[in-house]
Amino acid sequence: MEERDRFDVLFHQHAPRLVRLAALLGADDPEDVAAEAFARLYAARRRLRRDDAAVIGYLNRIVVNQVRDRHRRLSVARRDAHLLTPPAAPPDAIAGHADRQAVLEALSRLPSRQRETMVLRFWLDLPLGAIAELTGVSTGTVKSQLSRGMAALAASLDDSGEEQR
Amino acid sequence: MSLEDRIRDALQEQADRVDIDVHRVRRLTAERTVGARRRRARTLLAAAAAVAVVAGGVTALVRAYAPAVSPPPATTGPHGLLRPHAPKVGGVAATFACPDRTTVRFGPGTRNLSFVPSVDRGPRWFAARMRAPRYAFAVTGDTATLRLGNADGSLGSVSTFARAADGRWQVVRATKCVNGPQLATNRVTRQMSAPSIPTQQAQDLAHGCGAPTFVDGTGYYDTAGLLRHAWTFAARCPDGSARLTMAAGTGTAAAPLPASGTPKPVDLSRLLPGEVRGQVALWALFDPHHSVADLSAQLNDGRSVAARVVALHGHQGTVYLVLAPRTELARLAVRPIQGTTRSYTAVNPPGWRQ
Repeated sequence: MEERDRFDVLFHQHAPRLVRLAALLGADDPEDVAAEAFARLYAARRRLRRDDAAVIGYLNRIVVNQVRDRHRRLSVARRDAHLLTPPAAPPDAIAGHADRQAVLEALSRLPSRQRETMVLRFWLDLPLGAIAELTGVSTGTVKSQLSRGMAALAASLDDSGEEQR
Repeated sequence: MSLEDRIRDALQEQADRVDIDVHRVRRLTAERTVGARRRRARTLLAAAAAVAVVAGGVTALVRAYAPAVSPPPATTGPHGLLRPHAPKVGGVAATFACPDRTTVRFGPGTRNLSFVPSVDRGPRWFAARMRAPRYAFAVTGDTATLRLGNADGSLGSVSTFARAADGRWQVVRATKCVNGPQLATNRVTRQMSAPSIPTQQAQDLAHGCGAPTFVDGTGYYDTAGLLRHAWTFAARCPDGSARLTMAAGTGTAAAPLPASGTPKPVDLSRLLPGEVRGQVALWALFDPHHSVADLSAQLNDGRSVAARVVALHGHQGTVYLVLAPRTELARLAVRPIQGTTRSYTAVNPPGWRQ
Protein backbone atom coordinates (compact mmCIF):
# COMPACT_ATOMS: atom_id res chain seq x y z
CA MET A 1 0.00 0.00 0.00
CA GLU A 2 1.32 3.46 -0.83
CA GLU A 3 2.15 5.92 1.94
CA ARG A 4 -0.71 8.17 1.00
CA ASP A 5 -3.22 5.32 1.07
CA ARG A 6 -1.89 4.05 4.38
CA PHE A 7 -2.14 7.56 5.76
CA ASP A 8 -5.80 7.76 4.71
CA VAL A 9 -6.58 4.39 6.28
CA LEU A 10 -4.89 5.38 9.52
CA PHE A 11 -6.78 8.63 9.52
CA HIS A 12 -10.12 6.89 9.05
CA GLN A 13 -9.35 4.35 11.72
CA HIS A 14 -7.83 6.52 14.39
CA ALA A 15 -9.01 10.12 14.05
CA PRO A 16 -12.05 9.72 16.35
CA ARG A 17 -10.00 7.83 18.93
CA LEU A 18 -7.27 10.48 18.97
CA VAL A 19 -9.85 13.25 19.35
CA ARG A 20 -11.30 11.41 22.33
CA LEU A 21 -7.87 10.84 23.82
CA ALA A 22 -7.07 14.53 23.50
CA ALA A 23 -10.42 15.39 25.10
CA LEU A 24 -9.82 13.02 28.01
CA LEU A 25 -6.39 14.53 28.53
CA GLY A 26 -8.07 17.91 28.78
CA ALA A 27 -7.31 19.54 25.44
CA ASP A 28 -9.16 22.77 24.74
CA ASP A 29 -9.60 21.83 21.09
CA PRO A 30 -9.21 18.04 20.81
CA GLU A 31 -9.91 18.03 17.06
CA ASP A 32 -7.08 20.49 16.51
CA VAL A 33 -4.74 18.30 18.56
CA ALA A 34 -5.69 15.24 16.50
CA ALA A 35 -5.16 17.21 13.29
CA GLU A 36 -1.71 18.27 14.51
CA ALA A 37 -0.87 14.64 15.24
CA PHE A 38 -1.85 13.55 11.73
CA ALA A 39 -0.07 16.51 10.15
CA ARG A 40 3.12 15.53 11.98
CA LEU A 41 2.70 11.94 10.96
CA TYR A 42 2.30 13.12 7.39
CA ALA A 43 5.45 15.20 7.67
CA ALA A 44 7.27 12.13 8.99
CA ARG A 45 5.52 9.70 6.68
CA ARG A 46 8.52 7.43 6.44
CA ARG A 47 7.17 6.14 9.73
CA LEU A 48 4.23 4.76 7.78
CA ARG A 49 6.54 1.98 6.63
CA ARG A 50 6.64 0.69 10.19
CA ASP A 51 4.03 -1.62 11.65
CA ASP A 52 0.68 -0.36 12.88
CA ALA A 53 1.56 -0.51 16.56
CA ALA A 54 4.59 1.73 16.07
CA VAL A 55 2.63 4.29 14.05
CA ILE A 56 -0.27 4.31 16.51
CA GLY A 57 2.19 4.72 19.37
CA TYR A 58 3.72 7.65 17.52
CA LEU A 59 0.29 9.29 17.08
CA ASN A 60 -0.55 8.74 20.76
CA ARG A 61 2.74 10.29 21.78
CA ILE A 62 2.12 13.39 19.68
CA VAL A 63 -1.33 13.81 21.22
CA VAL A 64 0.04 13.51 24.76
CA ASN A 65 2.86 15.95 24.04
CA GLN A 66 0.58 18.38 22.25
CA VAL A 67 -1.85 18.45 25.14
CA ARG A 68 1.02 18.96 27.58
CA ASP A 69 2.44 21.81 25.49
CA ARG A 70 -0.91 23.51 25.19
CA HIS A 71 -1.52 23.17 28.91
CA ARG A 72 1.83 24.76 29.60
CA ARG A 73 0.96 27.66 27.35
CA LEU A 74 -2.38 28.13 29.04
CA SER A 75 -1.23 27.38 32.55
CA VAL A 76 -0.73 31.00 33.57
CA ALA A 77 -4.17 32.02 32.42
CA ARG A 78 -5.92 28.90 33.62
CA ARG A 79 -3.95 27.82 36.63
CA ASP A 80 -6.98 26.76 38.57
CA ALA A 81 -8.92 25.12 35.80
CA HIS A 82 -9.79 21.46 36.10
CA LEU A 83 -8.86 19.70 32.91
CA LEU A 84 -11.28 16.83 33.14
CA THR A 85 -14.26 18.94 34.01
CA PRO A 86 -17.24 16.63 34.17
CA PRO A 87 -20.11 17.81 32.00
CA ALA A 88 -23.47 18.60 33.52
CA ALA A 89 -25.57 15.55 34.26
CA PRO A 90 -28.35 14.92 31.75
CA PRO A 91 -31.90 15.19 33.11
CA ASP A 92 -32.36 11.44 33.03
CA ALA A 93 -29.33 10.74 35.16
CA ILE A 94 -29.33 7.39 36.87
CA ALA A 95 -27.36 5.98 39.76
CA GLY A 96 -24.58 4.59 37.59
CA HIS A 97 -24.16 7.94 35.96
CA ALA A 98 -23.82 9.63 39.34
CA ASP A 99 -21.02 7.24 40.24
CA ARG A 100 -19.20 7.92 36.97
CA GLN A 101 -19.59 11.65 37.63
CA ALA A 102 -17.99 11.19 41.02
CA VAL A 103 -15.10 9.26 39.49
CA LEU A 104 -14.58 11.92 36.84
CA GLU A 105 -14.59 14.65 39.44
CA ALA A 106 -12.03 12.75 41.47
CA LEU A 107 -9.91 12.23 38.35
CA SER A 108 -10.08 15.93 37.56
CA ARG A 109 -8.52 16.71 40.92
CA LEU A 110 -5.46 14.53 40.31
CA PRO A 111 -2.15 16.11 39.29
CA SER A 112 -1.92 16.28 35.51
CA ARG A 113 0.73 13.54 35.09
CA GLN A 114 -1.19 11.14 37.31
CA ARG A 115 -4.39 11.85 35.44
CA GLU A 116 -2.60 11.39 32.12
CA THR A 117 -1.28 8.02 33.27
CA MET A 118 -4.73 6.94 34.45
CA VAL A 119 -6.27 7.82 31.06
CA LEU A 120 -3.59 5.93 29.17
CA ARG A 121 -3.90 2.92 31.44
CA PHE A 122 -7.66 2.70 31.86
CA TRP A 123 -9.03 4.18 28.67
CA LEU A 124 -6.39 3.17 26.14
CA ASP A 125 -5.63 -0.01 28.12
CA LEU A 126 -1.94 0.44 27.46
CA PRO A 127 0.55 -1.77 29.29
CA LEU A 128 2.88 -0.08 31.73
CA GLY A 129 5.84 -0.31 29.38
CA ALA A 130 3.98 1.39 26.59
CA ILE A 131 2.83 4.17 28.91
CA ALA A 132 6.41 4.66 30.05
CA GLU A 133 7.63 4.92 26.47
CA LEU A 134 4.81 7.23 25.49
CA THR A 135 5.21 9.61 28.40
CA GLY A 136 9.00 9.50 28.50
CA VAL A 137 9.39 8.15 32.03
CA SER A 138 10.48 4.84 33.53
CA THR A 139 8.11 1.95 34.14
CA GLY A 140 8.68 2.43 37.85
CA THR A 141 7.47 6.02 37.62
CA VAL A 142 4.37 4.87 35.76
CA LYS A 143 3.67 2.31 38.49
CA SER A 144 4.16 4.94 41.14
CA GLN A 145 1.86 7.43 39.39
CA LEU A 146 -0.81 4.80 38.95
CA SER A 147 -0.54 3.69 42.55
CA ARG A 148 -0.76 7.24 43.88
CA GLY A 149 -3.59 8.08 41.51
CA MET A 150 -5.58 5.03 42.57
CA ALA A 151 -5.01 5.77 46.23
CA ALA A 152 -6.09 9.38 45.80
CA LEU A 153 -9.14 8.32 43.85
CA ALA A 154 -10.12 5.69 46.39
CA ALA A 155 -9.76 8.18 49.23
CA SER A 156 -11.67 10.83 47.36
CA LEU A 157 -14.52 8.48 46.49
CA ASP A 158 -14.68 7.13 50.03
CA ASP A 159 -14.92 10.69 51.34
CA SER A 160 -17.71 11.56 48.96
CA GLY A 161 -19.53 8.37 49.93
CA GLU A 162 -19.30 9.30 53.61
CA GLU A 163 -20.54 12.79 52.86
CA GLN A 164 -23.52 11.36 51.05
CA ARG A 165 -24.31 9.11 53.99
CA MET B 1 -17.43 -3.17 40.85
CA SER B 2 -13.70 -2.61 41.27
CA LEU B 3 -12.23 0.86 41.27
CA GLU B 4 -10.46 0.07 37.99
CA ASP B 5 -13.76 -0.81 36.33
CA ARG B 6 -15.39 2.32 37.68
CA ILE B 7 -12.58 4.41 36.23
CA ARG B 8 -12.89 2.63 32.89
CA ASP B 9 -16.64 3.20 32.84
CA ALA B 10 -16.32 6.85 33.75
CA LEU B 11 -13.65 7.51 31.14
CA GLN B 12 -15.60 5.66 28.49
CA GLU B 13 -18.72 7.65 29.24
CA GLN B 14 -16.71 10.85 29.07
CA ALA B 15 -15.16 9.74 25.79
CA ASP B 16 -18.55 8.81 24.34
CA ARG B 17 -19.81 12.29 25.02
CA VAL B 18 -17.11 13.95 22.94
CA ASP B 19 -18.63 15.47 19.82
CA ILE B 20 -16.35 14.74 16.91
CA ASP B 21 -16.38 16.44 13.55
CA VAL B 22 -14.07 14.17 11.59
CA HIS B 23 -14.35 16.36 8.52
CA ARG B 24 -12.97 19.28 10.53
CA VAL B 25 -10.04 17.14 11.69
CA ARG B 26 -9.37 16.20 8.09
CA ARG B 27 -9.63 19.81 6.93
CA LEU B 28 -7.29 21.02 9.68
CA THR B 29 -4.84 18.24 8.80
CA ALA B 30 -4.99 19.09 5.12
CA GLU B 31 -4.43 22.79 5.84
CA ARG B 32 -1.32 21.97 7.82
CA THR B 33 0.11 19.49 5.36
CA VAL B 34 -0.60 21.68 2.32
CA GLY B 35 0.96 24.66 4.07
CA ALA B 36 4.04 22.64 4.95
CA ARG B 37 4.34 21.34 1.40
CA ARG B 38 4.01 24.82 -0.05
CA ARG B 39 6.74 26.15 2.23
CA ARG B 40 8.98 23.25 1.33
CA ALA B 41 8.13 23.60 -2.34
CA ARG B 42 9.02 27.30 -2.25
CA THR B 43 12.38 26.49 -0.71
CA LEU B 44 13.08 23.78 -3.22
CA LEU B 45 11.89 25.92 -6.11
CA ALA B 46 14.21 28.72 -5.04
CA ALA B 47 17.09 26.29 -4.87
CA ALA B 48 16.09 24.84 -8.19
CA ALA B 49 15.95 28.27 -9.79
CA ALA B 50 19.41 29.01 -8.50
CA VAL B 51 20.81 26.16 -10.48
CA ALA B 52 18.67 26.96 -13.53
CA VAL B 53 16.43 23.94 -13.52
CA VAL B 54 14.80 23.38 -16.86
CA ALA B 55 11.07 23.89 -17.21
CA GLY B 56 10.30 20.19 -17.13
CA GLY B 57 12.14 19.80 -13.89
CA VAL B 58 10.16 22.59 -12.26
CA THR B 59 6.93 21.00 -13.41
CA ALA B 60 7.96 17.71 -11.91
CA LEU B 61 8.91 19.43 -8.69
CA VAL B 62 5.56 21.19 -8.42
CA ARG B 63 3.73 17.96 -9.22
CA ALA B 64 5.69 16.15 -6.54
CA TYR B 65 4.44 18.60 -3.97
CA ALA B 66 0.86 18.76 -5.15
CA PRO B 67 -1.70 18.20 -2.38
CA ALA B 68 -1.60 14.57 -1.41
CA VAL B 69 -4.21 14.39 1.30
CA SER B 70 -7.47 13.22 -0.20
CA PRO B 71 -10.30 15.75 -0.07
CA PRO B 72 -12.99 15.11 2.49
CA PRO B 73 -15.52 12.58 1.28
CA ALA B 74 -18.97 13.82 0.39
CA THR B 75 -20.41 12.02 3.34
CA THR B 76 -19.75 9.12 5.65
CA GLY B 77 -18.07 5.85 4.75
CA PRO B 78 -18.75 2.29 5.81
CA HIS B 79 -18.00 0.62 9.13
CA GLY B 80 -18.63 3.84 10.95
CA LEU B 81 -15.03 4.81 10.35
CA LEU B 82 -15.84 8.26 9.13
CA ARG B 83 -19.11 8.61 10.93
CA PRO B 84 -18.86 10.79 14.00
CA HIS B 85 -19.38 8.54 17.00
CA ALA B 86 -21.20 11.26 18.84
CA PRO B 87 -24.58 11.96 17.25
CA LYS B 88 -25.76 15.49 16.73
CA VAL B 89 -28.80 16.75 18.61
CA GLY B 90 -31.82 17.95 16.63
CA GLY B 91 -32.40 18.44 12.95
CA VAL B 92 -34.47 15.28 12.61
CA ALA B 93 -37.60 15.38 10.45
CA ALA B 94 -40.94 14.85 12.19
CA THR B 95 -42.38 12.66 9.44
CA PHE B 96 -41.12 9.68 7.52
CA ALA B 97 -39.92 9.88 3.93
CA CYS B 98 -39.15 6.17 3.54
CA PRO B 99 -41.68 4.12 1.58
CA ASP B 100 -41.94 1.14 3.93
CA ARG B 101 -42.29 1.24 7.70
CA THR B 102 -43.17 -1.07 10.54
CA THR B 103 -44.39 -0.49 14.08
CA VAL B 104 -43.44 -2.70 17.00
CA ARG B 105 -45.42 -2.46 20.22
CA PHE B 106 -43.46 -3.50 23.28
CA GLY B 107 -44.90 -5.54 26.07
CA PRO B 108 -44.52 -8.90 27.81
CA GLY B 109 -45.29 -10.82 24.61
CA THR B 110 -43.07 -8.84 22.25
CA ARG B 111 -41.04 -11.21 20.15
CA ASN B 112 -39.32 -8.78 17.84
CA LEU B 113 -36.38 -7.68 19.91
CA SER B 114 -34.06 -6.64 17.10
CA PHE B 115 -34.59 -3.00 18.03
CA VAL B 116 -35.51 -2.19 21.62
CA PRO B 117 -35.07 1.51 22.27
CA SER B 118 -33.94 2.58 25.72
CA VAL B 119 -33.02 5.90 27.26
CA ASP B 120 -31.91 4.44 30.58
CA ARG B 121 -28.42 5.74 29.89
CA GLY B 122 -29.70 8.82 28.12
CA PRO B 123 -30.97 9.37 24.58
CA ARG B 124 -27.56 10.42 23.42
CA TRP B 125 -26.00 7.17 24.58
CA PHE B 126 -28.65 5.13 22.79
CA ALA B 127 -28.34 7.21 19.61
CA ALA B 128 -24.58 6.69 19.68
CA ARG B 129 -25.05 2.98 20.25
CA MET B 130 -27.32 2.80 17.22
CA ARG B 131 -24.74 4.91 15.32
CA ALA B 132 -27.44 7.43 14.52
CA PRO B 133 -25.99 10.60 12.99
CA ARG B 134 -28.79 12.63 14.60
CA TYR B 135 -31.35 12.31 17.35
CA ALA B 136 -34.08 14.35 19.02
CA PHE B 137 -35.60 13.64 22.42
CA ALA B 138 -38.74 15.38 23.62
CA VAL B 139 -40.67 15.00 26.85
CA THR B 140 -44.34 15.91 27.20
CA GLY B 141 -45.65 15.12 30.67
CA ASP B 142 -45.28 11.40 31.23
CA THR B 143 -44.59 10.64 27.59
CA ALA B 144 -41.33 10.99 25.68
CA THR B 145 -40.35 10.46 22.07
CA LEU B 146 -36.96 9.65 20.67
CA ARG B 147 -36.40 10.24 16.98
CA LEU B 148 -33.30 8.83 15.35
CA GLY B 149 -32.32 10.46 12.09
CA ASN B 150 -29.91 10.11 9.22
CA ALA B 151 -27.17 12.59 8.46
CA ASP B 152 -29.44 14.46 6.05
CA GLY B 153 -32.10 14.83 8.76
CA SER B 154 -34.51 12.27 7.37
CA LEU B 155 -36.35 10.29 9.99
CA GLY B 156 -35.28 6.71 10.64
CA SER B 157 -37.36 5.77 13.66
CA VAL B 158 -39.67 7.22 16.28
CA SER B 159 -39.87 5.54 19.67
CA THR B 160 -42.45 6.42 22.29
CA PHE B 161 -41.78 6.02 25.99
CA ALA B 162 -44.03 6.21 29.04
CA ARG B 163 -42.82 7.08 32.50
CA ALA B 164 -42.93 4.02 34.75
CA ALA B 165 -43.74 4.01 38.48
CA ASP B 166 -40.03 4.09 39.33
CA GLY B 167 -39.53 7.17 37.18
CA ARG B 168 -37.73 5.42 34.36
CA TRP B 169 -38.77 5.71 30.75
CA GLN B 170 -40.27 2.50 29.46
CA VAL B 171 -40.49 2.00 25.71
CA VAL B 172 -44.05 1.55 24.46
CA ARG B 173 -43.71 1.36 20.69
CA ALA B 174 -41.32 2.11 17.87
CA THR B 175 -41.97 2.87 14.23
CA LYS B 176 -39.05 2.58 11.88
CA CYS B 177 -38.13 2.45 8.21
CA VAL B 178 -37.71 -1.06 6.81
CA ASN B 179 -36.59 -2.56 3.55
CA GLY B 180 -39.51 -3.35 1.29
CA PRO B 181 -40.26 -6.64 -0.42
CA GLN B 182 -38.69 -5.50 -3.68
CA LEU B 183 -35.30 -3.93 -3.90
CA ALA B 184 -36.12 -1.10 -1.58
CA THR B 185 -32.42 -0.47 -1.57
CA ASN B 186 -32.48 0.87 -5.10
CA ARG B 187 -35.36 3.18 -4.35
CA VAL B 188 -33.51 4.55 -1.36
CA THR B 189 -30.38 5.15 -3.35
CA ARG B 190 -32.29 7.16 -5.89
CA GLN B 191 -33.90 9.26 -3.16
CA MET B 192 -30.73 10.22 -1.43
CA SER B 193 -27.26 10.97 -2.57
CA ALA B 194 -25.07 7.92 -2.20
CA PRO B 195 -21.95 8.24 -0.08
CA SER B 196 -18.55 8.16 -1.64
CA ILE B 197 -17.35 4.73 -2.63
CA PRO B 198 -14.97 3.30 -0.02
CA THR B 199 -12.32 2.23 -2.48
CA GLN B 200 -9.67 2.26 0.22
CA GLN B 201 -11.57 -0.26 2.32
CA ALA B 202 -12.07 -2.36 -0.79
CA GLN B 203 -8.33 -2.47 -1.35
CA ASP B 204 -7.78 -3.44 2.27
CA LEU B 205 -10.27 -6.27 1.85
CA ALA B 206 -8.77 -7.57 -1.36
CA HIS B 207 -6.41 -9.81 0.65
CA GLY B 208 -3.81 -10.46 -1.99
CA CYS B 209 -6.18 -10.45 -4.94
CA GLY B 210 -5.95 -7.93 -7.72
CA ALA B 211 -7.28 -4.39 -7.81
CA PRO B 212 -10.94 -4.46 -6.76
CA THR B 213 -13.53 -3.38 -9.29
CA PHE B 214 -16.50 -1.46 -7.96
CA VAL B 215 -19.68 -3.38 -8.70
CA ASP B 216 -22.56 -1.76 -6.93
CA GLY B 217 -23.58 0.55 -4.12
CA THR B 218 -26.99 0.27 -2.57
CA GLY B 219 -28.78 1.75 0.38
CA TYR B 220 -30.70 -0.20 2.98
CA TYR B 221 -32.32 0.36 6.35
CA ASP B 222 -30.69 -1.12 9.43
CA THR B 223 -32.45 -2.44 12.54
CA ALA B 224 -32.94 1.10 13.84
CA GLY B 225 -34.50 2.24 10.54
CA LEU B 226 -31.41 4.26 9.68
CA LEU B 227 -30.10 4.44 6.17
CA ARG B 228 -26.89 2.53 5.57
CA HIS B 229 -25.00 1.71 2.44
CA ALA B 230 -23.45 -1.46 1.16
CA TRP B 231 -20.80 -1.59 -1.52
CA THR B 232 -19.84 -4.59 -3.57
CA PHE B 233 -16.44 -5.12 -5.14
CA ALA B 234 -14.97 -7.92 -7.19
CA ALA B 235 -11.33 -8.77 -7.75
CA ARG B 236 -9.38 -11.43 -9.63
CA CYS B 237 -7.11 -13.52 -7.43
CA PRO B 238 -3.72 -15.03 -8.31
CA ASP B 239 -5.14 -18.59 -8.31
CA GLY B 240 -7.55 -17.63 -11.09
CA SER B 241 -10.65 -17.34 -8.93
CA ALA B 242 -12.46 -14.12 -8.15
CA ARG B 243 -13.25 -12.58 -4.79
CA LEU B 244 -16.48 -10.79 -4.06
CA THR B 245 -16.49 -8.35 -1.17
CA MET B 246 -19.36 -6.57 0.50
CA ALA B 247 -18.62 -3.58 2.71
CA ALA B 248 -21.65 -2.46 4.65
CA GLY B 249 -22.42 -0.33 7.67
CA THR B 250 -22.65 -3.47 9.77
CA GLY B 251 -19.35 -4.97 8.70
CA THR B 252 -17.61 -6.59 5.80
CA ALA B 253 -17.75 -10.01 4.24
CA ALA B 254 -16.09 -11.69 1.31
CA ALA B 255 -16.51 -14.92 -0.62
CA PRO B 256 -14.53 -16.67 -3.34
CA LEU B 257 -15.98 -17.33 -6.77
CA PRO B 258 -14.40 -20.47 -8.23
CA ALA B 259 -12.93 -20.37 -11.70
CA SER B 260 -12.88 -24.10 -12.45
CA GLY B 261 -15.58 -26.06 -14.23
CA THR B 262 -18.64 -24.77 -16.00
CA PRO B 263 -19.56 -21.32 -14.72
CA LYS B 264 -22.65 -21.58 -12.55
CA PRO B 265 -24.39 -19.20 -10.18
CA VAL B 266 -23.55 -19.25 -6.47
CA ASP B 267 -25.85 -17.99 -3.72
CA LEU B 268 -23.91 -15.29 -1.86
CA SER B 269 -26.81 -13.92 0.14
CA ARG B 270 -24.74 -14.43 3.27
CA LEU B 271 -22.67 -11.43 2.23
CA LEU B 272 -25.69 -9.15 2.42
CA PRO B 273 -26.34 -7.07 5.53
CA GLY B 274 -28.61 -9.01 7.91
CA GLU B 275 -31.37 -6.44 7.56
CA VAL B 276 -31.99 -7.27 3.89
CA ARG B 277 -31.23 -10.98 3.74
CA GLY B 278 -34.84 -11.90 4.39
CA GLN B 279 -36.04 -9.88 1.42
CA VAL B 280 -33.28 -10.11 -1.12
CA ALA B 281 -31.13 -12.89 -2.51
CA LEU B 282 -27.73 -12.29 -4.08
CA TRP B 283 -26.41 -14.67 -6.71
CA ALA B 284 -23.10 -14.40 -8.47
CA LEU B 285 -21.31 -16.13 -11.30
CA PHE B 286 -17.69 -15.82 -12.35
CA ASP B 287 -16.87 -16.39 -16.00
CA PRO B 288 -13.07 -16.45 -16.37
CA HIS B 289 -13.02 -17.47 -20.03
CA HIS B 290 -15.84 -15.35 -21.43
CA SER B 291 -18.08 -18.30 -22.21
CA VAL B 292 -21.27 -16.82 -20.75
CA ALA B 293 -23.57 -14.41 -22.59
CA ASP B 294 -25.75 -13.47 -19.61
CA LEU B 295 -27.23 -14.48 -16.26
CA SER B 296 -30.75 -13.67 -15.17
CA ALA B 297 -33.04 -14.39 -12.24
CA GLN B 298 -36.40 -15.83 -13.22
CA LEU B 299 -39.24 -14.82 -10.90
CA ASN B 300 -42.37 -16.82 -10.08
CA ASP B 301 -44.61 -14.52 -12.09
CA GLY B 302 -42.55 -14.94 -15.25
CA ARG B 303 -40.55 -11.74 -15.00
CA SER B 304 -36.78 -11.87 -15.11
CA VAL B 305 -34.10 -9.72 -13.54
CA ALA B 306 -30.93 -9.31 -15.57
CA ALA B 307 -27.61 -9.62 -13.80
CA ARG B 308 -25.21 -6.76 -13.49
CA VAL B 309 -22.17 -7.51 -15.61
CA VAL B 310 -18.80 -6.43 -14.34
CA ALA B 311 -15.56 -6.79 -16.25
CA LEU B 312 -12.71 -7.16 -13.80
CA HIS B 313 -9.66 -4.95 -14.02
CA GLY B 314 -7.37 -6.09 -16.75
CA HIS B 315 -10.20 -7.92 -18.57
CA GLN B 316 -9.40 -11.07 -16.63
CA GLY B 317 -12.89 -12.44 -16.54
CA THR B 318 -16.41 -11.25 -15.92
CA VAL B 319 -18.54 -11.32 -12.79
CA TYR B 320 -22.32 -11.50 -13.04
CA LEU B 321 -24.36 -10.40 -10.05
CA VAL B 322 -28.08 -10.51 -9.63
CA LEU B 323 -30.20 -9.28 -6.73
CA ALA B 324 -33.75 -10.58 -6.65
CA PRO B 325 -36.69 -10.66 -4.23
CA ARG B 326 -36.05 -13.79 -2.21
CA THR B 327 -39.61 -15.04 -1.98
CA GLU B 328 -40.32 -14.47 -5.68
CA LEU B 329 -37.14 -16.03 -7.04
CA ALA B 330 -37.73 -19.30 -8.89
CA ARG B 331 -34.50 -20.08 -10.72
CA LEU B 332 -31.35 -18.70 -12.29
CA ALA B 333 -30.78 -18.90 -16.02
CA VAL B 334 -27.29 -18.93 -17.55
CA ARG B 335 -27.14 -18.35 -21.28
CA PRO B 336 -23.78 -19.44 -22.71
CA ILE B 337 -22.28 -17.92 -25.83
CA GLN B 338 -22.46 -21.34 -27.43
CA GLY B 339 -25.06 -23.97 -26.54
CA THR B 340 -28.40 -23.91 -24.78
CA THR B 341 -29.47 -21.97 -21.71
CA ARG B 342 -28.79 -23.73 -18.42
CA SER B 343 -31.25 -23.39 -15.56
CA TYR B 344 -30.50 -23.61 -11.83
CA THR B 345 -33.12 -23.87 -9.11
CA ALA B 346 -32.82 -21.10 -6.56
CA VAL B 347 -32.77 -23.27 -3.47
CA ASN B 348 -31.51 -21.83 -0.23
CA PRO B 349 -28.27 -23.55 0.76
CA PRO B 350 -28.25 -25.93 3.73
CA GLY B 351 -28.32 -24.13 7.01
CA TRP B 352 -29.81 -21.02 5.49
CA ARG B 353 -32.29 -19.29 7.73
CA GLN B 354 -34.41 -16.41 6.58
